[in-house]
Amino acid sequence: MNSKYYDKYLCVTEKLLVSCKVTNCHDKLWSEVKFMLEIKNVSKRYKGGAFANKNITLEIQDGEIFGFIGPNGAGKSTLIKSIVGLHLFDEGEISLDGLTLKKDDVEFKKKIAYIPDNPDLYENLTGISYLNFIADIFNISKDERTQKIDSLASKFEIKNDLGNKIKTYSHGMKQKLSLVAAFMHNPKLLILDEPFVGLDPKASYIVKELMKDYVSKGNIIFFSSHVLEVVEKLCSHVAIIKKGEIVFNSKIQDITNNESLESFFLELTEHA
Amino acid sequence: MHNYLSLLKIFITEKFSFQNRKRRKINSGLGAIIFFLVLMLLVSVFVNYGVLDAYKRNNIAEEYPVAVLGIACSLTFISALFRANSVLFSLKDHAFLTPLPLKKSTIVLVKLTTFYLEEMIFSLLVMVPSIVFYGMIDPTYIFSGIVCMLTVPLIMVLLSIVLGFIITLMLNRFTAMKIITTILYIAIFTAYIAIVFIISYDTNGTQMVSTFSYLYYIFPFLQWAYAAMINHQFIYLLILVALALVSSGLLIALYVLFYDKLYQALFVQEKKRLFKSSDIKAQKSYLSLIKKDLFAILDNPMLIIAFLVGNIIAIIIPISIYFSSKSMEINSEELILFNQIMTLILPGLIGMMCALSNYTCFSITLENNRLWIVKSLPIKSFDYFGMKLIINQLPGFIFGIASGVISIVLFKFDVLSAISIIVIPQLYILLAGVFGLLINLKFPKLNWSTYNEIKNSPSAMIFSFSSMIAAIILTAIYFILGLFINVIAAFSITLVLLIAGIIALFIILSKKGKTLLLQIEC
Repeated sequence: MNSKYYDKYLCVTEKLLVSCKVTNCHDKLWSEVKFMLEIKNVSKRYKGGAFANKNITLEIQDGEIFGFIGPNGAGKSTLIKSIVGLHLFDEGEISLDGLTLKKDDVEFKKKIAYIPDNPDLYENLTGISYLNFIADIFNISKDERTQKIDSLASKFEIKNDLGNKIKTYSHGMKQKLSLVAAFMHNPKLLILDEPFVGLDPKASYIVKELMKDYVSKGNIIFFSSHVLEVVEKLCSHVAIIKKGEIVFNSKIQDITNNESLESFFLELTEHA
Repeated sequence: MHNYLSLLKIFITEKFSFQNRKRRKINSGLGAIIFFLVLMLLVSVFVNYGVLDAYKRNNIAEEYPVAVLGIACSLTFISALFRANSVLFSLKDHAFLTPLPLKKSTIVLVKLTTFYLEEMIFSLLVMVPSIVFYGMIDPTYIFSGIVCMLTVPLIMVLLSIVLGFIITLMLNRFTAMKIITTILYIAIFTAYIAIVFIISYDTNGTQMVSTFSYLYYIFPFLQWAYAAMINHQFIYLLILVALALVSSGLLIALYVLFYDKLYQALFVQEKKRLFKSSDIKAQKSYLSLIKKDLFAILDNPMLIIAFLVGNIIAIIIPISIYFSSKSMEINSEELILFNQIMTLILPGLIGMMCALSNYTCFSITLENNRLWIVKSLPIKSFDYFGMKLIINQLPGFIFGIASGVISIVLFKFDVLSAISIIVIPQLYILLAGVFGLLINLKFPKLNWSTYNEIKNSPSAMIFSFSSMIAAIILTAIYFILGLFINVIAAFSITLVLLIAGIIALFIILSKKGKTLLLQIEC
């Protein structure tokens, strides 16, 4: 990392520690913090041997919207896929509320929901059949799913389309259906990969409001996006990944007090 | 010409996945296809040799080339008819190719060339060994055989395209079009087999030895091929070539002329259906998983057919053997021996046919790019695998038992043989099911867009051949032990082998299955 930017990184990340030392609460504060999602030293190599993710460590607390950004090919989707169990990772551990992905994968997955950047859904099913399928897997009662589907599908304005086959849906409608499916079982952790792609402005607004409401209940959102303005506005924390390594990880205010996330991101990724 | 060659290259590359950079070895597709073709050719060589030998002993060797051509024609006709719709009239292809600056004639020509080349595989596999073997008896057959091998399948392909298009056009306005098409195709397949058998009986009700020699009742132009091959009337070869060229030219001209109208007619807007709150239903998760897979199968008529053809043949086999035996002039002692042989052969044969209608060997492949859904959901891997095994076992259970009961009645099986013909096929289907699942977990192909790619996928090919070989070995063991020791020993040893195989594969599945599933990147 370029020394100028490394200094900046150190400066930003140590602000918390400095403030804690001043108030003499450093040790107490860190021991009391409950990290819900812990990604410890996760590494994944490509078949050729190069690192897709190298020694990644992230700790995300209750009630956070965690923004995960980086240039194309930096390893964002690889890490996200590792978190949701789509990819095996070579080293490290991922845990949520003490449940580790490698040992308790089924229980771990009961607490999460994932929406990929390009949701390929079961095209031959109708929207409602897909939602029934997801609800069946999460063992959601008929009354609960009726209430959830009614409220969420109405919010995203896809209720009237639920009787149609998914193959007739536009990209945006599939994205909305994925969001309805994701919120149905009240997951502790919601993982979103480019959630705003294909959504109309109203749906984007609804998603943002849902995200805020959702984390206010003590849940976590881990989301990746290339739209830095949205990350800046929504996220409480942000991590930047470059060439498979985390090059920055801190609270969003620590950056935005001095400059925009966009300029910080560009400086960091172009020079680091 | 340049456009034609470039597009043809793309089509062939796409069809056979020649340039799949991931898993270059067996999963590249090409390796598996070559492996499978070589093995099928070897099987064809042995079968051809055996059949020619039998014909010679019956003094009807001159009927052999006719019968071989009949088999090649039948395979080409059935396969091309089933595939014409999905391969030639795919709307996805149309949407991709139409905006390109290509002449319609080029597109049509490339599509037909690729289709013809694919369908030629049957003729090549069946006829090349026959040309070699029979060419040694009658060297003129080498020339007439090659010409017939190239032209007759082309005419069959053209017929299938026209028929396939008419069926698609007639049915594509029905809501349950895919189900109706599937039922119709199964009916056509069954009717074709039945007609071939019916026309092979002479007026006295005796079945002729070469069943496929009478196909000219259905396809009259085959008489010209027979005249050329048997009577050396080579003028008929010219007529055949002319017929193939003229009909191809006519079809291409019509296809090009009505290209836009044809696709317009095929495009049917999906009917909108309003959502009702009664659509919200709760089910057990495993039932939901089964339903999801069944919907995926039902969405593709070709898959249902592939899933059922072996099972249907399992029903046809004992019936056709029974009626063939009726036409043979054998005394009561020979009949007892014949029935005894059947009790020893049929369990393995029925098991093999039912097991070949396998689902597990492409069940992971069928998930396509949507595998992320089940992988990210809290589903126990064993529930997921178990669900696929249940789907695989169900048709085999129904058809296998039905075929077993038919065999018991027709061949008057004793109690032990009756138990064996019910139990052995079911255990073999289970064994093949677990094996197919493991093979598919090892060699999945998630980036497919047509049924053809599933059928040509490495796991499907490896499975077909392996399960066939395993069934032949198992049948041979059962037959030899049953014939030379006794049926109790044969049944016990076969049972032990099958159960041991099933337990071993289940252990591998429980230990490696989850990891293999996780290793599939999606």
